[in-house]
Amino acid sequence: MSIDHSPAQKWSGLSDDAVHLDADDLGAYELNRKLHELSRDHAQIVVDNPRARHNLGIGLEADDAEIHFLGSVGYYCGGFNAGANIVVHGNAGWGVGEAMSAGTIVVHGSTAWSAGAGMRGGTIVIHGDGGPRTGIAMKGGEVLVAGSVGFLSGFMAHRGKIVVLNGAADGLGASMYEGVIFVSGSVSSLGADAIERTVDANDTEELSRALGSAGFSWPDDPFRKVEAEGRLWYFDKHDGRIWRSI
Amino acid sequence: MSSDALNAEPAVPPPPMATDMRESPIWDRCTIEDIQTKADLGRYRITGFSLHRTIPRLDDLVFLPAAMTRLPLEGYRENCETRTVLGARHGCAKPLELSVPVYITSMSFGALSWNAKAALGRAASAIGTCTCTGEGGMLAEEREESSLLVYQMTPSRYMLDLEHLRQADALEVAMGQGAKPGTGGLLPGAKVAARVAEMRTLPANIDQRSAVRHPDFLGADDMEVKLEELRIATDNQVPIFVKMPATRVREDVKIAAKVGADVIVIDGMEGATGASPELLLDHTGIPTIGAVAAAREALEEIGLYGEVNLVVSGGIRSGADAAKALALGADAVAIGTSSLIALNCNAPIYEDDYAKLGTAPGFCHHCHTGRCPVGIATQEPELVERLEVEAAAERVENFINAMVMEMTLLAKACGKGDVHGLEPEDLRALTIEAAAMARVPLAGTDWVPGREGRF
Repeated sequence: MSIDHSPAQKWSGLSDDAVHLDADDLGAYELNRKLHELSRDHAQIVVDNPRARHNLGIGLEADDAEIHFLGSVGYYCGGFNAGANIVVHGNAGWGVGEAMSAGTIVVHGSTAWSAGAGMRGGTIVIHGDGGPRTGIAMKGGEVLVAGSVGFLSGFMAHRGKIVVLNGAADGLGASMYEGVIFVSGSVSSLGADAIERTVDANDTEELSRALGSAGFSWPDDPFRKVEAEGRLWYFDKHDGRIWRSI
Repeated sequence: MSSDALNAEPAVPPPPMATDMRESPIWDRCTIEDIQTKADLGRYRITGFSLHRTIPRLDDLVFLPAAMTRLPLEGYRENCETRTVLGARHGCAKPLELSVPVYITSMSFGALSWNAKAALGRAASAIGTCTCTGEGGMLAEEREESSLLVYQMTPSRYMLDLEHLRQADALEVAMGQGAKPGTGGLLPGAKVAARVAEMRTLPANIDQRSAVRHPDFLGADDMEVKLEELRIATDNQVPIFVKMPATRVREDVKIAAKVGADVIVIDGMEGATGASPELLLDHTGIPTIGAVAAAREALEEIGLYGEVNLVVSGGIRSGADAAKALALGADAVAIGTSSLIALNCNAPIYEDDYAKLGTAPGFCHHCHTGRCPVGIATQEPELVERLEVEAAAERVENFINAMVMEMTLLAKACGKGDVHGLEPEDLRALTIEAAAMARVPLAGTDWVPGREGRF
């Protein structure tokens, strides 16, 4: 999915009272300290010139301001987020929102590998495509993707939910525990131990809520629900043919 | 006796030997048992504890105390410094200040019981050293008991978030462990009790095979960014350790130093485990004795020896082992199994319960069954209660104190007023293998295999 660069879309949600911070003037540590500092007096902080730099907006908390990055961000943006609302007006590099426990991260673009890696709570909304291993090792929360996701998305997801509107590459949902993936569109292949289960009325209601919260419209293709079958959860010699090769 | 009698066939021939007891060195009883066990199991064997074979080790080294060329310190009277600071490299606000160069290594809650974790924490705090969470997340009791707690970040990232990150006195990014290099943790279902499962966000009672590859970085360049992220998230308050199994030590240590580790922890192949595929214990990694020397050399080659701290673990059983590790280049050692043995592992109590496991005190390696007779490697409340925290903590405290006394005794005999003053020159090897691995001369010679000229 291409990024909408029209001004209205690109800078949506900005307030006139927002305080601006120029990332060009600050190193990674200073920038993050400054975000905490300015949060005391401002409800919204706009970071200009993020220039796809790494480690932006790390370890922000619920009482921090809403942070907008006006442009693409590098690795681990919003990592360890503990409740802040972060908006990226561009693409995000590896591990956006990794280890987050609360809050939201909205990416008005695509994300690289491992979005939401190990996250325990909160919501990540990706308006473009999610890269490979989206939602890897996640322990809770939601990753909502308007486009597609890359290979091994949901790998070893412990808990939490991934919703994908436009298809997935190989190995979707490999070796999961209690993670759940809802996917519309084509899926190249399911991963080891992933199994398709029926979407029930509760799921549909939950999906409506999730899509509504992200501002996504219901896709044309029906959703499929992917979960773990659980055959890799126990050592069993009768599954030797599976075990010996994975 | 007449010659006739000698030559005559006995009236009754002796019975043929009931059994020919010559054992094949290839297909010995252990091998036969191994094959037949796998034929039943249909999988690799899983076991706890450490390896089952003889390897070159620190025992193969001896110290050269002072005699004519050097002056010893009074072993029973003069002071010998043991204070150890780890992780000052990047100027974090609170490097770990340990009273001794010995701490409790990473062992998870899950592999160990809550009482074992609490006792180890209490002992470490009494000593003035640190303990380490291991991979199962941060146990509340352990945090409470430990004045200095290293929080381990493994690929599975159990319980990892800002709240817990900020409770850590140091972070340890785990890149593997000596017991099973290149393979993730293993926790059999019998130990994935409700609380363990919840801390790891797992369904209870499953056989958990943890991840080995980190979910959000792969190579060294990614890892450098990741370590910066951790420093920002902790506001550079605490040091960052990188732990790795001893495999390609020389290269791996250089990379860890390059990506920004404050402390590098090298875990030799003697490193033990609560559960591992057995073959990984026996057939992967290199011995601690070779790992220390290689790690030191690596740091010297890039000019960071002394700046990046080096911790060594894997089969450290005594003050002698620890002192040798320091002499070879470590700033500190981390102990696992020896601290568990001090707790009561393999103690001759509850012998009926050892028997139920098909073993006996002194031989037990059944951590993986979750039926630890002494309450250490189990999650069953009635077994855990057998480990009384206060008394167990005192035993570990006593053991570490004894270890440190042994270390200072050796250091003073070698004329050192600080245990960190021990150096390779203070050592000689008893075997050619040990000489080659530790890069110290064979005893009575000045020959270091593979090295030109005199030592």
